[in-house]
Amino acid sequence: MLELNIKKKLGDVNIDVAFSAGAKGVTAVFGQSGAGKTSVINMIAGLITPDEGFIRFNGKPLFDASQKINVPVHKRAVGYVFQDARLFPNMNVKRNLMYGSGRSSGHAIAHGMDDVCSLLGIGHLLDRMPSRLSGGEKQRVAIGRALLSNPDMLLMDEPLASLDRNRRHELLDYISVVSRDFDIPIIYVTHAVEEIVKLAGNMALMENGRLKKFGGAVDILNDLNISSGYEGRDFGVICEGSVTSYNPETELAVISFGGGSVEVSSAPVEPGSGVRFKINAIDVVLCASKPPATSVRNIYSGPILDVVERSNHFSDVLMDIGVPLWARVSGQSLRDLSIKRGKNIYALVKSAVISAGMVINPPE
Amino acid sequence: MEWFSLAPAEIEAIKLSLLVGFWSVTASLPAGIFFGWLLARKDFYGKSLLDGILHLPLVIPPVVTGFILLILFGKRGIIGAWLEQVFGFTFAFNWKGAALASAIMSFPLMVRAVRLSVEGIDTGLEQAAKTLGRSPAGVFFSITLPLAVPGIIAGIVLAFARSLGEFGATITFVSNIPGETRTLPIALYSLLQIPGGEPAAAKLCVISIILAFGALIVSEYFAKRSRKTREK
Repeated sequence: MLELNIKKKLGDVNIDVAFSAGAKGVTAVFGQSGAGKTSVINMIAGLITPDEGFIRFNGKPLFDASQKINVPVHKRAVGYVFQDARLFPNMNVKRNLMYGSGRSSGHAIAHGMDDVCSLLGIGHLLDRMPSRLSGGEKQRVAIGRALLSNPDMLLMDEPLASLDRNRRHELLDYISVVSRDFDIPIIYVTHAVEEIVKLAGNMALMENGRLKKFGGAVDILNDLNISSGYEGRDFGVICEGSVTSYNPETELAVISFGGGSVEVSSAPVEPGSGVRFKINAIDVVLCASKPPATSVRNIYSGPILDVVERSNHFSDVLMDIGVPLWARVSGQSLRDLSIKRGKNIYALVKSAVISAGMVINPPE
Repeated sequence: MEWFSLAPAEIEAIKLSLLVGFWSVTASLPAGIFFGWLLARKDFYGKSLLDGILHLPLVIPPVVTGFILLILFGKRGIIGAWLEQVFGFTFAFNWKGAALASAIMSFPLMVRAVRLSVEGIDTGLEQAAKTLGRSPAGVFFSITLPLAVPGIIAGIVLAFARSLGEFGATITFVSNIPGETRTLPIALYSLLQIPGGEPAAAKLCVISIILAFGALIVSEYFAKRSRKTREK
């Protein structure tokens, strides 16, 4: 368990953050660039010294201003994956991976070189020099190097930022596997919602150096979406559920969640897996009465809670189907369906438009 | 005047120059690396003063440097007398004194080359090495030093070339003794002092150019090799 409560003045920004991270799983640190996210993990690593406060791991202080304790970087047992990989250019991949392996740690680590290489798919790169690796390969080697240094925790600073879209998805899958296989806390700095949805249990929301919110990632992201007045095409709601069945022929997964069940087109998932998926407001169709047979498989009903007017004569309708659900409709449809608060209404969501495959937990 | 064979006195001067150059560079290399690194990576009180002192031999007249060395390291010099008394070791009027003078004169060039090369190394790599559990000394020897090698080679060559050309401080400090302190430039100067010595002096001049050029080629070879291993 990692606990921190730190203050630091850095230029114009006053960093003031307090949160804790459990023994396992990903805690995201989220915010705009310049919010001080990287400074926070640099202080956890010991690369920057806070002005006030403490950082503790399993009760032991790594930093404590009142007791004048400041454990130097190399004795903190943190694995740090930098945004720019920072592989040593004078060593091949194998020597990079082995660089930190001399460190002994309190816990017996079950993963050796071979395990880490196959987990990250880097076994075939061992003899190469870093200058001959692609961006994604570099970042995977950097993750492997951090893991093999027997860390008590893993710090990741926007590891996907320098990659193109396809590589990003690929590496995200690797990181997701790492977060499940290693029993260490991971602090993950990012400004991409997609990465949080895929990885994080909890998140710390930062603004101008200060911690604005800390808690469950899904709740914070859904609240944030609404309170920020965001109205882009991907405005919607993130839902959590678990897979009840998967049909490999139709490639459809049935997921039960707060609103009932939903059919989602998905890559193979095991029943029992915990998943997150997002329903965008523009993908939800409203119906005044229960629709007759349609091609749409996911139909819900519930009362309208709120109607929010957006630009370009569109409105977002919030309804309660057990969980909140947003639907975007034109002003014309709003009048035609006489949508108003309290009225019961039906919502239709096409299976194909829900982005799923975001497996958070494997079946127990 | 024979152009393609060397007289014993000429061979002596070449050997002596190489010996003096080798020891002046070898002995000053660790300190050169240390001060180059210190100036590149650390901020401390009196840093610009230290920087100034290290560069002094570059700007003051070599004769002045030679004279100061004489006062400090001569037979009756402040440090020289003590060295002779305690260790029976002296820099006075021998090739070791010539090597010391060369080392002092070429030191700023070496420090500069090392400093520039260390400054060019991403400090992020050193941070990464620390997070992987290496102590500051471990980081220096496994990351900083290997990555600074091209700059260190450049420093060695510059310092060696400077040693081969060292004249003023050497002749002032350890005089002009054949076989002991008469290096190539001093031998060349001596030849010019006697009537009809010009052709022999021209020969030494050509030899000096060849030696300096050879050092440059050797350094280029090592620099290329260290670049290549990184791009495998």
